[in-house]
Amino acid sequence: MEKSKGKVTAATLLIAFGIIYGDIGTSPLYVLKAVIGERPITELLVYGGISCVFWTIVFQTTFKYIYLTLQADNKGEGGIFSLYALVRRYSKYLIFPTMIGASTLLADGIITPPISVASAVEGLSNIPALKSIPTVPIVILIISGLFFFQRFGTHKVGSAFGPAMLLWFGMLAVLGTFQIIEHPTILKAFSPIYAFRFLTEYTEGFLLLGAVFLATTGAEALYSDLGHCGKKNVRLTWVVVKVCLMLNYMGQAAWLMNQGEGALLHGQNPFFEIMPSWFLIFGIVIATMAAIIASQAMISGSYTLVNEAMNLNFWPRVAVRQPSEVKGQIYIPSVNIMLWVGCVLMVLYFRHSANMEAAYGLAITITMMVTTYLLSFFLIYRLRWNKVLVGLILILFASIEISFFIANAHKFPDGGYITIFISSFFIFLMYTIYSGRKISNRFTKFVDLGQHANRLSELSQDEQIPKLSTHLIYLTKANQRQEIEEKIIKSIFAKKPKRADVYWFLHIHRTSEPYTLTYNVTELIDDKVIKVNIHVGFRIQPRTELYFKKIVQELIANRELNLHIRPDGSTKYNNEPDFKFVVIEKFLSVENEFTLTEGVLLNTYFLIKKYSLSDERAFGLDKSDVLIEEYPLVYQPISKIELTREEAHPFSSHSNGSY
Amino acid sequence: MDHTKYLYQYLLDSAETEVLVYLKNGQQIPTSIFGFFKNEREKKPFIHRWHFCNRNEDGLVQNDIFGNPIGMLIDQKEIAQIVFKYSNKSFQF
Repeated sequence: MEKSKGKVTAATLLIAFGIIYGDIGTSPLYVLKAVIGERPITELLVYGGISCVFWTIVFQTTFKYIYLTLQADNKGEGGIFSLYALVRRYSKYLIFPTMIGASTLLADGIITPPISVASAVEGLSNIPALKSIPTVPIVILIISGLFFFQRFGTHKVGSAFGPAMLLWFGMLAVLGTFQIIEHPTILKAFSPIYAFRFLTEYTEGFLLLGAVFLATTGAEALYSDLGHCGKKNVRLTWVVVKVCLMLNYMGQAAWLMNQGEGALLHGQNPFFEIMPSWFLIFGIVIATMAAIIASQAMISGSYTLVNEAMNLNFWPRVAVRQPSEVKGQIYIPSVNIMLWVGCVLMVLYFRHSANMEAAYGLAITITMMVTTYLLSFFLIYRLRWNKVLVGLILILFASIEISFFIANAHKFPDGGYITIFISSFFIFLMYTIYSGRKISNRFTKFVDLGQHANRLSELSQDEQIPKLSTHLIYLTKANQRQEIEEKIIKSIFAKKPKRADVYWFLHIHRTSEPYTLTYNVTELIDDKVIKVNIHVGFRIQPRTELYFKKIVQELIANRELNLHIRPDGSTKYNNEPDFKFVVIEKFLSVENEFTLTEGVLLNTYFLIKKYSLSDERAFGLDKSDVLIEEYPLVYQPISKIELTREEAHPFSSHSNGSY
Repeated sequence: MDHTKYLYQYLLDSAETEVLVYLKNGQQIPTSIFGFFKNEREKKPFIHRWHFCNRNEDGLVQNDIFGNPIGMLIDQKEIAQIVFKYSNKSFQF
């Protein structure tokens, strides 16, 4: 897989066009419209604005993401969690920025489909016969259809994405070039002097960076999608994409200059204005197609992000489905519904793409700042770059991104608050899951398994106790071969002891590498007490039952294990080994004394857990013979009880009927 | 140096559990180690709380009638030293 990702062929390049550039590639639909707005057209505004767009793409997209960040691939995978997994060992303080960055990226995913699709569909108002067509129902219909079809996967239509995006970029380049020919002096805007003058001389220049920033919002998604094609393909195709984007931006700017000094846009979108009227309907269709592909990339990216968050224990366990045979393609129903509701509400609330621009950008600047921070750790500790050089890079991008953040923060009351509100909810969710789990783990009591091995052996041979199962399998958090949770020992010995021929203790260890899948086995008592550690990469959905069966098969094949069944693999009545899994679910006991923060955190954590996917389904055990037991988490036992025995009185009148 | 990590490793590698616990308040408790609570990965000490229990002549932990081991939970921060009874192996904190 690694090799195929690294290859550069016409097919891989086409895939890169279809998957990577959806978000950044559809930016010309709304960037120039947002920069100009209803301000009178002036040379300083147009030349300065387009110059800022160009230099933003140079620094932020090309230098930071295409050159620097793509180096931080985790076995070919990109994205904020992959980057975090690469650097987390170097500082314990990276976890919280990562949660914030991932939350803002996810929140941003709710605004990308509405703004892209709405911008494309609003082009219909340029056709005289459709001038007053209501666009909101059309946008909702397209977005709803897109979310509805997620359950079927994109394997059937995915192959068309590359050619469609190639057509889109071709259209951008051709339309832009025709306008540049009409006003070639626009090319002077490549000079950074115009950007400088725009920021220092134009009245709202600095605040308009919020609109300029929309040209690079897709850069973070580009990094997240790295795993689909590999960095060589991304870097090669970016050259073509960047040229096409700049030709179109320059073309729109040229058209603006041709409107004359002082002219106003009156709601016109320069993107559609540069199209000849006969081409408009085709242009709108191609733009809508590109917007749908961009939205698809963002939706798939959100599934991947949540799946990674779940596997890194930042997200409640939810069902993950694989809609096709394509490796890595997943579908998360709960995320699909959440995004669909979010997108539809965005469309209904903002109604027009121009209003959505205010909500777009603020959240993603936070993600970008976090990526810069994590990247500096990667450059220093993994690539061993000079600390001074990394410091300078950090200062450069911190200056750029803080400027964008300040400019975008200005949009907060106009709509930015929505994505910040949604991000805050995701941060709260991630923090609760992460902290609640940590507290819960901290108060999990472990014991030395060796101390109980003889008792296990004795119980196994005690024929006075009815046998529960031939093989009894427990899931354990203990990673050392000799240790085990006390609750497991209690589950086996307390009340009605669980007799079995073989006791298995299975530990799933999540690795920092995306696709690791290995295991090791330790027999504490030969064929009687067996500990298995399975190492699973953070991108893989664990299928414990399947892994366990495979391990058992391998152990039998190597003659390391006797399953206590007949040599031909069958018992008298059937040939199935008798396996029983025991899953112990924790609940929060009332017998606790909490501080306020701990109480809120743990109660929320267990409340979320109650409505999340059960442990047996999360570990892929739902088809197996599973016994579920509940065990209380006692965090801070109530230490002092003043319970006084009263003198017995035959005619006591204390009773009032209550218990 | 996080000595709780060494103590933990010694406990798992040897079959020995009988110890004499010296608390920072000067108290000495002859007991045996039954269980332990691990701290968060990045935090120290590695073990933040111990569960000590008394054992009978057969070396089995004594339980109450509800099946809970009779003993005490002691935070690591309260412990000054743990000495293993038979090997005389000592861990100071």
